[in-house]
This record gives sequence, C-alpha cells and structure tokens, in this order.
Amino acid sequence: MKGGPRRRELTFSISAGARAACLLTFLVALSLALSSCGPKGGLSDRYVAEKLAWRARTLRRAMAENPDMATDEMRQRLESTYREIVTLFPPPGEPEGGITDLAEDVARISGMSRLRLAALLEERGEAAEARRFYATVADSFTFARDMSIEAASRLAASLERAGEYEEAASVLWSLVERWPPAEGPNEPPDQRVIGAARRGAGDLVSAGKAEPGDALARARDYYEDLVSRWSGTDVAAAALAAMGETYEMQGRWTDAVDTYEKLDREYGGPGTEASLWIKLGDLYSSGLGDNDKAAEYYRSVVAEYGDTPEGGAASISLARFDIGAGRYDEARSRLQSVATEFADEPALAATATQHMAASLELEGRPEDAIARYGELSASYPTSLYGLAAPLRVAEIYEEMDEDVAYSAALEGAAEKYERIIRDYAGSPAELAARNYLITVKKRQEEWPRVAELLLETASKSPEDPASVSMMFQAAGIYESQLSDEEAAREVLRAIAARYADGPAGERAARLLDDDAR
Amino acid sequence: MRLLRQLNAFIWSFAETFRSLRRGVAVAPFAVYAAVQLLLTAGVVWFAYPPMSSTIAPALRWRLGEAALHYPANLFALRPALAQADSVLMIFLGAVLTAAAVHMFASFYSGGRDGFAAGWRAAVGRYVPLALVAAVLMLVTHLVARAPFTFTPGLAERSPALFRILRLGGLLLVVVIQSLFVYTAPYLVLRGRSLISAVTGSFRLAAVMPLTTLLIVGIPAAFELLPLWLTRQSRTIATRMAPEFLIWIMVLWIAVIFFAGYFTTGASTRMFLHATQEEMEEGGGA
Repeated sequence: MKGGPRRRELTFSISAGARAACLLTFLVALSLALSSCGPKGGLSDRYVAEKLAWRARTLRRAMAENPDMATDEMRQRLESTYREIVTLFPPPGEPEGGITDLAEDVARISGMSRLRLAALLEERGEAAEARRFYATVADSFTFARDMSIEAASRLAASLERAGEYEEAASVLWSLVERWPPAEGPNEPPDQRVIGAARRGAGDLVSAGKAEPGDALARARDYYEDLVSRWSGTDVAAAALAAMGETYEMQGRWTDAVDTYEKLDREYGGPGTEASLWIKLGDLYSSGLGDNDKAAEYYRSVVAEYGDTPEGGAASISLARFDIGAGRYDEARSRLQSVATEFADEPALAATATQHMAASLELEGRPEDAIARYGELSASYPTSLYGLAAPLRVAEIYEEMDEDVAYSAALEGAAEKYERIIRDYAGSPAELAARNYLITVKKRQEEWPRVAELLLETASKSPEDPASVSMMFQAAGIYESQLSDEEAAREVLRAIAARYADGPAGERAARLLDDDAR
Repeated sequence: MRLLRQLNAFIWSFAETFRSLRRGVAVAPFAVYAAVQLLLTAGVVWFAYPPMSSTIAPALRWRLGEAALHYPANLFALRPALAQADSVLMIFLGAVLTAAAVHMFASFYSGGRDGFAAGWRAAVGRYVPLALVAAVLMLVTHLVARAPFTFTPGLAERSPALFRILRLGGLLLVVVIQSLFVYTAPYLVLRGRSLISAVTGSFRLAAVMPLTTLLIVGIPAAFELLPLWLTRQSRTIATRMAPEFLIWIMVLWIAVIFFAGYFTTGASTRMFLHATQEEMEEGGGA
C-alpha cells in the first residue's frame, strides 16, 4: 500500500479572517477595559455643556455687538440653547462627599444658563417663569456662592419690580442669613449681601409690614453685629457705611454723621477718604445746616485730593456756598477752573458750567446766563444739565417777556431734543430728551404731537409705572385738548389690555365703562 | 550638476511621481500614516467619550494641561497635539512606512509592481537604522526650529519682524536638513548600506544635486504653509465661524502631509535610482 496508513494530523490552521476577528476582539476588550478606568459620564457631560454654552455665548456676543441685527429668530435660538442646557443638566443637589470638579463645572454652566435664560424671559415680560429660575439657582446652586447670591439678588429685584415687596424682603433676609458678607477676613465685602439688609428693610416698609424705624433698626442690628464680628476688616467698614445709610434713610442726620465720622476715624484711608468727606460735607450742609463744618470737609478734599474728580465735586460744593452768599465772581472763578481742569469728566464740567449759568441768572445777567446755557447744551448735550439747558433758555426768555425769542428758543429746543432722540436712540439720554420734548411741545400747544410722543415713550418701557401715567395723559389730551374721544377710548382700551391684571387696567376699564354709560 | 540640468531633473522626477500616482503606486503606506493621524484627530475631538476618555484624555492632560480637556480648547489643541504625536509616530511608524514606499517606488520605476507587503518586509528588515535616522532627524529639526525662540523668550513681542525672519529662516533650515537626509532610506532599503554609510551617501548625493534635492523636499513642504497659516487663525475662525472648522483644517493638513510625503518620497527615490545608476555605470565603465 502506497505510503502506508495515513496518520491523520490534527492541524490548527487559523485563517486570516479568524486572525482579524481575534485582533478585533482583543481591541474591543482593551477599549472596554480602558474605558472602565477613567471617570464615567462626567467628562462627556461637561463637554456637551461647554459646547452648548459656547454656542449660546457666540450668539449672545453677536447680538450684543450688533443689537440692530439681533432678530427674533436669534433670540429664540439663544433661548432654546439655554433651555437645552437647563433640561440636560438639572440642579446638582447636595451629593454625599461634596461635588466633584467635573460636576461642579457642569453645574456652573447649568446655573449660569438659568440666570441668562431668566434675564431673557424677564426682557420678554415673562417674569414669573424667570423668577422660578432665579429661585432654583439661589437655592440649589449653593456650592457656587457668587452665582447663588446673584440669583437671589436678581430674584429680589424682580419681585420689587412686580411690587411684591414682602416676598422680596423675605428673599433678601434669607440671603443675609445664608451668606457671610465676604468669603474670608481678607476678602472684599460683597455689597449684594451687605446691601440686602438695608434693601430688605426698605421692602418691608414698602409692603406695609413694618414701620421704617423698626425695619431699619433690624438692618442696623445686623450691621452692628458685622462691625463687631468682622472688626478691622473691609467688611466692618462696609457695614459702618451701610449703617450710616440707614440713618440717612430715617433722616437721623446726627447719627449718620457720627457713624460716618467713626468710619473715617477707624477705616478711612486715601482710597475712601475723599468721597467720605464729601458725604460728610453734604450731611453737615443739607442735613444739619452747618455750612461752616461742611465747608471744612470740602476744603480738606480740595486740599488733599484737588486733582481728582472728588476734588472737583468739592470745589463745586464750595462754589455753591459762594453763590448762596452772593460771592458770584469768586464762585464762577472756582467753577471755571473745575470746568477747565475736568473737561474730560463730562458730568463734573457740565455741573460747573450749569452753576456758572445759574449764578449769572441770580446776579441778574440773563443774557450772559443764556450764553452759558447755550455753551452747556453744545458741549455736553446728553448730560443731565446739558439736556435741561435748552428748555431753561426758553424759560429765561419767558421770564423776560421776550415772546418772539421765547418761541424761537422753544423751536430750537425741540430741534435739539429731536436730534438727541434720533442720535442717542436706546440710551438714557433718549428717554430724558423725550420727556423734555413733551414739555416743550406742551408749551407750544402742539397737542397731537404731545399725545404721539407720550404713547411712543410709554411703549419704550411698558413695565415702567411712568408709562401707564403717560398713556393716561395721552388719553386725557385726546379727550380734552383734541376732542377725539375715539382716540382716547383706543388708548384706554390699550391700557386695559396691556395691564389687565393690575390697578391701571382696572382704572382704564372703569373709565371705558363710565364713558359707555 | 549644472543648475538647469538640476531643474530639469526635478521636473522629470516629479513627472515620474505623477505617473506613479496615476497608477496608485505606494499609496498604501501614506494612507496608513494618514489613517493613524485621522484616528488621533478623532481621538482629540471626541476625547470626552469612552474609550478616548481613558486613553487620549489623560495623554492630553499630560502633554497640554487640564485646559485642553475643555470645549473648544480641545479643538485649539488639535495642532499641538498632532504635532507632538507626529514626532513619535514619525520615528516608530513613519520611518518604516516611508521606507516601504521607497521600496514600492523603486520597484515601479524598475518596471516591477511590488505591493505593500513586500515593501513592508523590506523596510522592517532595516527597522533599527531607519528609526535611528528618523529620531536624529526629528531631534535636529526640532532643535533648529525651536532654538531661537527657546533662547530668546519674548522675542515675538519685542521684535515681531525679527521673530518672523527667524521663523522663516528656521523653516528653510529644516528643509535643508531634511534634504541632506532624504536619500538615507533608499540607501538603507535599496542598497542595504550600513547606517553611517547611508547617511554619508545621502549627504554626498544631496551635495551633488543640491537644487534638485532642495526642490524635491521644499516644494511639497511649502504646501504645508497654508494649513499652518490657517491654524494660526484658529481663534478668529472659531469665533467667526465655528470651532468645528478647525477639524477640517486638520483634515486638510493631513491631506497635505499625505501628498507632500508621497511626492517627496516618490521624487527622491526616482532621483536616487537615476543618480546611483549613473554612479554605477560610471563605476562599471571605469
């Protein structure tokens, strides 16, 4: 037999496919083994949260850089991104052993997104939902002190805006009780915490739940406690300042002065001295009627800090005394040097120029005063005094019985205000210019324009209580000045619809009912 | 060699490499390297998810710090991460893959068609000298590129013009150094020379046709300037468009590296064969 009996050889031939399968299995097993070593979930959660937060931040920045280009679609996208973060990452709670670094990062993004979402909702008038987010952050994100305090502070502000003072006071007192006023003895004081006691006291008074004396006394107890427990630190200084303010709120000028002088003695220094001395000067002057002592403080500021804005402010206060005493030339010389030296501080320079114009009026030199007001309006058109100047010029002509000049001045003032409204749209100057323009147009008896301006201005900030008043004024003008009852009713209907749940809406509805009867 | 002849030789070597590309010769080694680079890129992009969270993430933290583990910092870190990984990869994988490609190109230019496996076998046989040359080359190029900035900190702020000149000078010097070493792999793989002999042979060949060699190395390398410039604009790109655009810039960079590697290796192998053939013929004739 050829070859004899064949031995069956048992051979293992591993095919290329089997080899590849073995290698793949090994790699998968290795991957799984490695993946079980590291932190699970936390890293990917943080990554997702950061990615969404980046998207929101980019959108928010684009909207902030070009507010005119910000569309409703962008706002919706921003809101939905925040909502996605809020849904994906609920409040962290209080895990045993504390919160891990990764979880804290995620929670910070989640909390901040809640705050931003709440701000967006408030802007849109959905204050109730916004307040829920603020409350969640204030109560459930306490691992992040700053964020929790900010949320509580905003919640209180939102409640105050809604007139819910008692709830606001409760939030503020919780804030005071929950958080120390600084993170440590060497850390700066947190004014949101320190100021909360004073704010809470004011809110309790507004809610009618406490007498001013009692409410402020409670705040003062808190401040006294801080002064003794945080003695020698910036917190104690801030508490003394806050205590002084509570005395001011009560009109207890002597106590306020004593407190501020104690603050000056114990904690005063180059950083705070100037503003503190000005405050003391103001209190001596307007509170205690002691102009000599006030002047002493102002002079000290001028002597020690003459080249600072506080020095300029003190010079203006001294000039005010000179004007009161009829020393006009002396006053104007002082004011002129302030206007020259602080030309790059518009508020100071405008105040100095205004005082110069006022002193000329008091001296009986109206033409010179008008020239100064003109200069003020041209140089600082959007400052407080610069805005008032064009109308004041018209008033001076009226007092001089110069009818033609008076009309021309009103016309000029109207043009200036219209220009500011156009050029500074969206700024506080626009709102002030609108109010001055309404006054000018009333003087010119251009009633249709007055009504139009009132309604336009009211629509700019519908949440502002002044807006309601403006709308009622507009309705009154349509009815009494323009005899257009239909237009008046239309405005009342708009008030009734916009403020349906408030007293303004009820009043408008009542007026409409009376009218119908 | 005369300059015109050298220029002519460069154009001819590139034309030959184009011809090889059309036939798909030696694509595999460069594709493998590009695939590894893409895998690394994907790893940095998705570092937060398993299994990268326990492999790539610790490596990123070790090399680039905790900040690299945040979005979009991980995308900004793509370039430095890949550059650092490339330094190691080039020594342990790139050198042998390039050598495999040299073998495949040589086979193609000689009328054969050896596959990746044959090229790999030929290269692995000379793994140690190849890795050593790659390590030395990497070390020298890093030293040359970084030394001026390491020894003069804050130069970019003090003298931006000088900083730019030094940076450009560094890049040119790197090209010169790479040109000196470019024929080492062919000597090791195709002629079986010893390490020292291969290096000196490469230096000698580069000196015989300096312009051709510089162009073979420098022209493909110049294409890397575009992704390099783009990565310097990372912040602007991320803010104006989206951080994810940086991933596409890295993909572009990997593609440029793929083609630059292919053309440099293909053209240098072509020139090596041509020059050593002439040498042998001259030697034989003598």
